[in-house]
Amino acid sequence: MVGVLQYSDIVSVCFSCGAEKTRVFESCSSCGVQPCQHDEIFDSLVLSRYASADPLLSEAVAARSPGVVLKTANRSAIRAVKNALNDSQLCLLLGLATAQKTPDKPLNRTGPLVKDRVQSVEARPSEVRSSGLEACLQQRGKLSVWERNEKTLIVLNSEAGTASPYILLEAIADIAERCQSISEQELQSRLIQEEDAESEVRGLERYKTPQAYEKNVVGRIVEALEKVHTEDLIDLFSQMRMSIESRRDKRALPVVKALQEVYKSHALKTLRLEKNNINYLVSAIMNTALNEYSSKAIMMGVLESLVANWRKVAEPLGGVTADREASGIKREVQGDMQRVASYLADKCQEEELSARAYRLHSELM
Amino acid sequence: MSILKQLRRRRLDKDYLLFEEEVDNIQRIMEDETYQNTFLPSELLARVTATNGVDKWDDGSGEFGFDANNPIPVNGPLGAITYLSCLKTESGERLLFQRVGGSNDVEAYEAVTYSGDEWFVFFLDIYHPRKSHLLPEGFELSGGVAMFSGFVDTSSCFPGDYTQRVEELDASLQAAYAPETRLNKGLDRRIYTRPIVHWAKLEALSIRGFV
Repeated sequence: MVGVLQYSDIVSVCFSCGAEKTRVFESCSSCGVQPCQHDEIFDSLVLSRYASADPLLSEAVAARSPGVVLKTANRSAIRAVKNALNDSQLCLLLGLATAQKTPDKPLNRTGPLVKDRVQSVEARPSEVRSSGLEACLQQRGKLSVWERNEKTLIVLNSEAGTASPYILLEAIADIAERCQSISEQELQSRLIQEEDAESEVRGLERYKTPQAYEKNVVGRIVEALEKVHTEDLIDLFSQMRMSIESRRDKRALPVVKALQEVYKSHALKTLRLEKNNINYLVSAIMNTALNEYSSKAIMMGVLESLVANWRKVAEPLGGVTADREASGIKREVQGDMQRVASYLADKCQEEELSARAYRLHSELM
Repeated sequence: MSILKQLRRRRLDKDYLLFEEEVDNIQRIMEDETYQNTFLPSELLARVTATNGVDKWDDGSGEFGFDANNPIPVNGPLGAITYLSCLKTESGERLLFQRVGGSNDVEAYEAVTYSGDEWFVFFLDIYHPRKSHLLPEGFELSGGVAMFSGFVDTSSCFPGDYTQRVEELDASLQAAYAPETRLNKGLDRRIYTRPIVHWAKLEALSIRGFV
């Protein structure tokens, strides 16, 4: 009987053991595992011929390693699979819980906790708006690579200041991948159109080669990201770093490298700001008469908050800011906080406060 | 001008002749449910006429037409073709469709809009004496008599092989089918590419025994 399914033989790779499978959601004949959970079904779809190329799947089978595919899967296919698992009918057929739209990841507010006597990071709008970018990411249709990139870049520029890091990351990766697929023919055709429109010459160079085009795109992304709030930029690059490491998405590399430079300059700015904040508060602690338990407890709380906040700010930056100034700032700040912890440990006769101070001191070493 | 009037006029053209009775036959096939049921094999006819005509299962649950627990009642395979051929999306698009399988008396059909933009999976229960008067969410009736645009068997080349499949049908049914020229840009295969979500649904149907 002629079936409707596209392939009659091997169609997917087992997400668990890397063996070949004739159907995506059936039990693996090798290990017996059947995908049931959301993430297993997600991986199984990515590991199918509907989402990944045959050579890649063959490689995974040969190496008995589904990770080969999962790490290098095409981003648009991954997005299509993610969107597919939002389909309520599909979830029903697969016995998954009712699909809900994936919410944007929450902003990680890493600004200083004690605000009133310190410089604060720049004020940001409380409302997150990224509906235009989300629409661009979900758009299907007949637009060319150039048109889609233009559209996304324009929307990115207007929404960069308010979009969540998650959506920004998706949009940037989307653009970066598409840059790889633009043809010289399309670029030349755009060049001709620009000349016909008698536009400024300054824009024409960007179309001459795919490399020039990509460079221009990177510049425009960098310009858009100047509007991104520093705290969100930290989130964005933390996630981007993790995403690149887990998927080895080489196509996004040129864009990521350029963005890392932006990130680095913002990160240094953040570190300097945090250092000033900490210096100010350390000075406040050292100059306060710590005679009463209540004042000691308050100062201990402030120091613990400072340390926690510093970790939130400094640790994500660590992987990117391999910079002498950044290292110097980190050393100074840690040293200052350690001195204060030691000071408080000496001052606090109360067992509980003393224990907290010694613990902080040890953690900061 | 309605399709049937066009068919009657065409019989006057030299390149294609249809007799009056053939046009009457097509009209009856499209509109008359009792006549449609006469095309059923005796066993199936007995089963279909043994039940009452309903618009939906009394104990149906889930989204009408999109959930196997709440299939669309229709009168046999011809009823399925007539029902689905009459549907149009909210944006006014009609559907090409084919049966992909069945399980526990519920049939699964896949459908695609003429433009190729949207794909669907419907569930139908063909063991009823008439078609449901209800419509699945997001669909309207196309109005008037709709020419057929789908099949009750399965082809791996759907919908690109539409014309060939029509030609393989019984002569009395062929004229009831929408000509290829009515389909958007013909049957360019590049338009009719199933998205990953649709493939996933077909795969899911296979583990549930439909395919």
